[in-house]
Amino acid sequence: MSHCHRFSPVTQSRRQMLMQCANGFGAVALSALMADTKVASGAPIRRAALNPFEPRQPHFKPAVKQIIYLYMDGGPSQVDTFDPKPRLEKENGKPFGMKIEPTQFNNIGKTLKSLWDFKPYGKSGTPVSDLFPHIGQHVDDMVVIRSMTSKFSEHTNANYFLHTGIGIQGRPSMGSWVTYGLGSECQDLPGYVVLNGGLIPPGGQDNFNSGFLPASYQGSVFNSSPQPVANIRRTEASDLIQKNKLDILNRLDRDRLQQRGAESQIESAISNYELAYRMQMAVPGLMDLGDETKATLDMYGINDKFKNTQTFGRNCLVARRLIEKGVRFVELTCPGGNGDRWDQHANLKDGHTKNALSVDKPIAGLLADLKQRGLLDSTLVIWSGEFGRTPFAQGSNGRDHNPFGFSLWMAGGGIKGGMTYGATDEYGYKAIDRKVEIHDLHATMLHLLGMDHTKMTFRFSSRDMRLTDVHGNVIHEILA
Amino acid sequence: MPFATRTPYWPATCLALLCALPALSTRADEPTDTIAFTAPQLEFFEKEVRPLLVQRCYSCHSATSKKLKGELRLDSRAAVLRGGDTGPAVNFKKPSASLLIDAVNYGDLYQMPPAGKLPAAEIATLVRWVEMGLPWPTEKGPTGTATVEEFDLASRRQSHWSWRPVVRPALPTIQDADWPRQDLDRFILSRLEKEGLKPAPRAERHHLIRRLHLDLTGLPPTLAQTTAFLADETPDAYEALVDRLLKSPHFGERWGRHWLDLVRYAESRGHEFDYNAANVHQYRDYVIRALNADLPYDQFVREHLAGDLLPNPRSHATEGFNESILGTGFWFLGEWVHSPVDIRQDELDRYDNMIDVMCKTFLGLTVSCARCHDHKFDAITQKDYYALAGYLQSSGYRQVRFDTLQTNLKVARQLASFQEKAQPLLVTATAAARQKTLARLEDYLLFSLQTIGTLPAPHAGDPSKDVVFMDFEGGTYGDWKTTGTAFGDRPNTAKTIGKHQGDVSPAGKFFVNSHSLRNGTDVRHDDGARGKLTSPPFTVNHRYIRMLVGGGAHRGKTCINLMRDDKIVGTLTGKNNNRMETRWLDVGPFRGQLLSIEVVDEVTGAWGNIGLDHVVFTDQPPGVRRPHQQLAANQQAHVDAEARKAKLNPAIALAWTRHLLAERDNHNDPFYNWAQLIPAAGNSLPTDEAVRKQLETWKQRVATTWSLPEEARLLVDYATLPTPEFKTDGPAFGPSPRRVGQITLSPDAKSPITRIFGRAAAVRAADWARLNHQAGQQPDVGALGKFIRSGQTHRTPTFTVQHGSVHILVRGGGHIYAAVDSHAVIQGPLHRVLTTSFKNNEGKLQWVTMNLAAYRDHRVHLEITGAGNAPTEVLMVVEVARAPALPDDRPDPLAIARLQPPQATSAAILAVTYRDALKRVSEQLANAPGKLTPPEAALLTWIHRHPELFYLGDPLATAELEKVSGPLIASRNQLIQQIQATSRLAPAMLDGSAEDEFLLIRGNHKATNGTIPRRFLEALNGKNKPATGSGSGRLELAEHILSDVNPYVSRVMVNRIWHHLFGRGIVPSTNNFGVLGQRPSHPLLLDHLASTFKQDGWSIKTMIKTIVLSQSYQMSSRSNSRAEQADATNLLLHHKPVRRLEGEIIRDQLLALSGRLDTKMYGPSVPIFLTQHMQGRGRPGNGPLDGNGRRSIYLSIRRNFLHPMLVTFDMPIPFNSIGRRNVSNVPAQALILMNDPFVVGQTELWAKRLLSDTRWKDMPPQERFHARLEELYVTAFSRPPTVSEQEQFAQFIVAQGKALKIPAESQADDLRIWKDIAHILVNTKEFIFID
Repeated sequence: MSHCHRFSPVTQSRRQMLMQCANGFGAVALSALMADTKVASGAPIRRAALNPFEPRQPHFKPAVKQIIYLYMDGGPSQVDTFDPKPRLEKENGKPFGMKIEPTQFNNIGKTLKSLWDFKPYGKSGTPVSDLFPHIGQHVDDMVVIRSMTSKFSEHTNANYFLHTGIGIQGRPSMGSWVTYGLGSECQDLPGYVVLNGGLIPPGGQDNFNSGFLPASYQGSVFNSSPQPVANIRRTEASDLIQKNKLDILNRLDRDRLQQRGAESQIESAISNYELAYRMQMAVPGLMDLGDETKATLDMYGINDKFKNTQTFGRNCLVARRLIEKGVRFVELTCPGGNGDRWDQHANLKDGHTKNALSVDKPIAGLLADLKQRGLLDSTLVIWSGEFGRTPFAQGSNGRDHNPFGFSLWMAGGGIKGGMTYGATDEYGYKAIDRKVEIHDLHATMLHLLGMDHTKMTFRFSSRDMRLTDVHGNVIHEILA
Repeated sequence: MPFATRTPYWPATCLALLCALPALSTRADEPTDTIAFTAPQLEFFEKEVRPLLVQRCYSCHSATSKKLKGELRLDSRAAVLRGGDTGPAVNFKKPSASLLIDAVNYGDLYQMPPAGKLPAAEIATLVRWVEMGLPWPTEKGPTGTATVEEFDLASRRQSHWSWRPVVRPALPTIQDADWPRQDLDRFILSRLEKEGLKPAPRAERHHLIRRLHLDLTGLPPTLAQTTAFLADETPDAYEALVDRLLKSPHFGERWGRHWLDLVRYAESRGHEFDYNAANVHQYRDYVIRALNADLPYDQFVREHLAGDLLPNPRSHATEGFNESILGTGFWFLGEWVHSPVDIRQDELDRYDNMIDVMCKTFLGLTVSCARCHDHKFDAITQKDYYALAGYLQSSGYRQVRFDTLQTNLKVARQLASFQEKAQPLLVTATAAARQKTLARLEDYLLFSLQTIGTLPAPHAGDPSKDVVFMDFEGGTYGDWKTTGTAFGDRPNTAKTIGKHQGDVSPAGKFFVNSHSLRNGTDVRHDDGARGKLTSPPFTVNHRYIRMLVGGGAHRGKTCINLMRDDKIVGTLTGKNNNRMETRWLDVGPFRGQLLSIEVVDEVTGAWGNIGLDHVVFTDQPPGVRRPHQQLAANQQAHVDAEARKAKLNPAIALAWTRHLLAERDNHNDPFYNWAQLIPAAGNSLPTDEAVRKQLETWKQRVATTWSLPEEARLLVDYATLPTPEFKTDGPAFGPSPRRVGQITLSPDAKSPITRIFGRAAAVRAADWARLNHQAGQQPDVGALGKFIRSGQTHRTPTFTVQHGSVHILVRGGGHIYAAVDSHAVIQGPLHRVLTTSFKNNEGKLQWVTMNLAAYRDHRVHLEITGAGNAPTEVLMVVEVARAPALPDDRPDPLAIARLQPPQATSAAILAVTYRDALKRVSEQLANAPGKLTPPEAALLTWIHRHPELFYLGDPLATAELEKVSGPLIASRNQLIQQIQATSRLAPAMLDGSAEDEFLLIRGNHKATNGTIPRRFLEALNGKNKPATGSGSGRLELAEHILSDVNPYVSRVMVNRIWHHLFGRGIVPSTNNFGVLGQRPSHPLLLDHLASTFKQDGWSIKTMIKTIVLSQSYQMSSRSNSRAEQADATNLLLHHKPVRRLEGEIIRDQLLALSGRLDTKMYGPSVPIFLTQHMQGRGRPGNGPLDGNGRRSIYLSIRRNFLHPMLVTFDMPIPFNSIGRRNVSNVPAQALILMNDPFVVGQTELWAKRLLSDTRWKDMPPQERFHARLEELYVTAFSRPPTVSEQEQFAQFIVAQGKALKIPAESQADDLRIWKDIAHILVNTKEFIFID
């Protein structure tokens, strides 16, 4: 019957509320939240309503505080990366040995072995293909889940599904949910930042949207450019000129408010300018890597020859800086210009080689850097595509989309390093052991952040919406 | 109704929840099966099976499960046998097909256990167990509480407030009788008085004018409007203002935008490439016009649901086009996917969105929660959901020619009825014209034979005669040489080729055909033989080589080559058709040279054959059918003289002579056999022996009649299709199929009938071929966009695909779209096979084959579009493995032979046979046209197309005919003139066949459970009114929805209006009046407004006027502290709520202030300006930064590239019906107003406008400054600045002047300063809030 209580009138007066928020930076009231919300952690409504990014208490003690999602747009091939299948080697070039489900291109070729060799790495001996010699060094901090599944064979649906838990447009992204649930540790940057390496995944910005959640929780897409976010640079010729304007603006607004009487919406909108101004000041410094050492830059591959390694390396380094600042959720998209995203319907060899080269060293650098700074324990790093690829060829030298079984890895706090979890069949086609759904991934992510995925809800359209909808199980076996 | 508590209906709610608790029942007491199992079997069960079930299955499938899944229990034998909601878990007849076994094998429907596949050994154990017959010891079934929730519709309906009918309440009594201005005020006041509260005073007039302007039109008042209103002291000044604003065209733009939120309006499809949604702005314009015209809301609803089906659609006031049909466009504003791997799932997701949007928008109910199960809280069943889905299954998408639809439909109807009237007149008149000749037909026939036999030699200078090079009638290849095996050692006859080839239409008996019976084997399955047939060399003396060619269309591989010295100098192939047709090779360039002909078959497999016959050297160019010049002048004179002698009409006699000569070798001519009797030169008549021989070959052909193969499924048959089931998109296919015996009219009065139908067909007449689109219409995405479909498309009835080899019998040219699961984005890589095109094959019938094997068991209908200038005919659709042979369609001798079996033994008797046959068929056309057989109809067509053989040479008879046909043709031409060829397009619904949707267990389309009849919600009496009739039944649905039984339509709409005017609905959850929605704050007021709304004829403007004239609306937005303590959330409306403006209105205001606003209405949207941050697939073309000054409602809305400013200010993502926007407060909003180039640019324009105004130029600087500042304030806020504001800006000028290094004396006139002031004003909160 809990849904009945939300209509209880808020007993606190606006005046009281104003007093509470008068002196906080970013004291931002959200009437949307106030109107129709059951707040994440069960905290009183008012608390969450005041500042969208104010850190909020999780449901229980979290293992990690922040998340970096390395989004491998297009769907890397599991059997060429983290899921070795000797049987493919044996049956290479022969008709595929299992019943084949409909595929996106319906251009079914023969069984195709991995084009790369696998080697065991670390103490755990977790096998990684030659595509990732650097990432391989970190397997003892990683759990590789080999039994991921998705529900969609199309990029866009699968992207939405991975990001929002539902395969169509309009739902809040996981980063939005996390920021909505926990706020952010950083008060002068958005809580959910997407570092755009060059490729916006099919489905567009809606992969990072806040859907029906308040717009504050939308992913802010940062470009590598002098103006990484829209409207972040003043148009006035100097700080002083802008400051003069903001000063009189603030006075006019406050006078007016005093005159007309208290009104929380207006008060919040006034305070909003302070946060905006701070963001305007904070962002440029964030993207300027001038204060990093050459050793650091080298570690991330920023001085490598391959341009896309540099691009992704820079974003990995910015990701670390965002984590240091306390941003809650950072997502990285892949660099463009490798022919295509990890979507090798043809020319698997060339495409996967370039895509791997772009991300291998930067990711290894990121993991090493986080570790040496003691940040890896409180950060969860996740690597995956929206689905995997078929173990049989598309045409002769490509692979088609495969949502039935693919690999994902996590590294960082709260998880058991050096393990693999789940399995696909002998061909690497379908997950058959300890199958993991996207909802389970979301549930586990939230769990590591100290959130019960069944309790983190937002009322929309008169339903208590969840990132995991009505699904999701925490994968306890991979937790430390 | 209790009013004392602050939460009305609270007790009822609690009751509702109690009632909604699951009714408990257990199924433990069912009898256990008593089959005796052996001890080892039972031991196997106990040792192997039971532990497995307990460990792997019972957490979800037993009496002790926390939550029973799929209603399946596996904890007793009986329970396993009974199974779950998709049926029994085992199948003893075929154990491997048991659902249980399929599920553990990770089959299509289930993959169990979900977490991971069982080890192979455990699966084997279960298989063994099922094979044994499920051994299980006799035991009492387990007990537990895992049960299925019972659904009690009646009690749910009864216990929730919103299902109750709208009842007009009595007006509440109040103390302060002076306060109310409208009845509705009494409801507000009485609540306040009960709480001991006083309403806020009336707002100041400058607030009121800004509030009204922004609420009703979304634009601020101009300076002049403000001044006039503030100066107008008359008592009705306010009402006059309201009236003016309600009449403003901007009203529709403002309220139209509210409506577009509800229908998830967008102009692209989202998904991967964000494809364009064609012409949807027509829907937006429709909404704006409807609101401006104050279209009664019930009609607005009716048009949305079934505007395409209204018997009398509404016309645009001045342009006359069909308005009503545009409403149905809302169904198709959603996200669409290209190349979905699971096409049916995609359809269901689309339908789900459509049902969700429809039900939230019009009913305020969340019906789509019932897609997978009965609604968790509301009186809505899963059956209700699928009952509504059936309406969508029975309707489809189209682009409608809304401009011209009504006119053209009228023309089409008039043409049809005209035709009906004209047919008997013309049939009689043409028969009369023929009569004289027909009576003596035998004389004309005999005369022609005789005369041809005795023709004099042509004088020099006449064209050379055709030379038959090879006709293979000798039964051998003669001098022609073969290599390989394909051609055997001699030509074929009809008997030596495979029967499946049907009639290959040779000339004479023998012909070449490499697709043949060889060595006694029917080789059709592989067409394996290959080879070559080469002619002897010949010298070229003619311009052309004419021949009959059939077979495969492989270039260079199944072909006829023209060779010169071993080099190919010309070539042609078959057309993947066994029936041979006449083809030409131009050999003009080789005159005098030595060439040879090569017949090549180098292909095995499909269409790996070639056919050839009757190779003729000729000077007759391609396409010439009637070589009138064939007779030299002296020969014509001869015929003329002879005819006069015989007392025959010389012109007609000459025509017959020419005809027989010309068609002598044309086996498709009805007089072919007669022409074959043309005797050798010098003879007058054929011998009886020759007649007998000819008759024999004729009889041979008579023996074959065409019919569909037995195994063929006839999917669409126009002979039996009732007219109401004949669905078309517009006029071109006419109101019904053409029936047997109907005629086609020509514009030629001398020859007014061009066709008599022998088979029923859907026909797009040639008159409509010129239909086109007005320039600027957007095409649909993908293959469909490449066809001009609108207005000339016919939708077949729906059928279910069995094996997928579907063949469509057509004539003329056109396109076919197989609508499988309503998937319309035909844009690869998948589903490309759903469209195909066919070209006019010289007016001949052809089979068009579509391979739909990938869609077995899916429901499909075809949409067939006419193309090209010839008529397009669709005769039938069949599903059968291979395309059947083509049916008889020619006026060939068979028709005559069937009418009058030829038994003559002399030419004279045979001629009479011909005469009688023609007479008989003419009479049948007049008396019983519907009974004509296809060959008879073909013969009649032939007769009508050869007036020269019957009456053209008889001026009197021709004139008599023209007396009848002339006026008829003239009036028909007048009708055709009225066809409007060019039109605009808009998305709309197209009604299809009546199709009920399946009930999908848990929403899974692989688990169906019968179909649900189409109907409205059961709780609103829908069950008693299922759809009837031929189409979808949407119009009846609309009437049911609008009937008094349904309390939702009026309540939901007045609540929306209230929401937009007060910022919060009486029911705050505007889209959900269900249990999970919020309760009305003033339930009686809601019903008061709802009943007033209906009483006032569903007038939206009247309702708005009623509300804005109320005291409640005109209250000040300031609260007083006493009321604020008691009513902190202002639930009781003790003051007017402050509202943040929508992004669109903020932007529009900026344009209004800057003077950049372009008030142009309607039309295609302006592309939005794209920042470098907006990247991704489907990125559209960039638009102007200021959107050309157009109001925001005219900016394009592309799903994957939404306008950043509007979205930041909470314009919703168009994915679902949004009744209440978020009102968020985010830093990005401040950043936009501070730094966005558009905002900065508009404020600069505003400042420039100010400085260019010369009114104040002679004032002292100080005064000029104040005047200017006042101008800005009044324009922006409808009020002058306060003294304090003036002072602050005076200080600002100094500080900023210093910072900008502007000399003190010019500061008050400097653009840089005023630009900053303007910019500051739009950043104040007053600018983005309505006070």
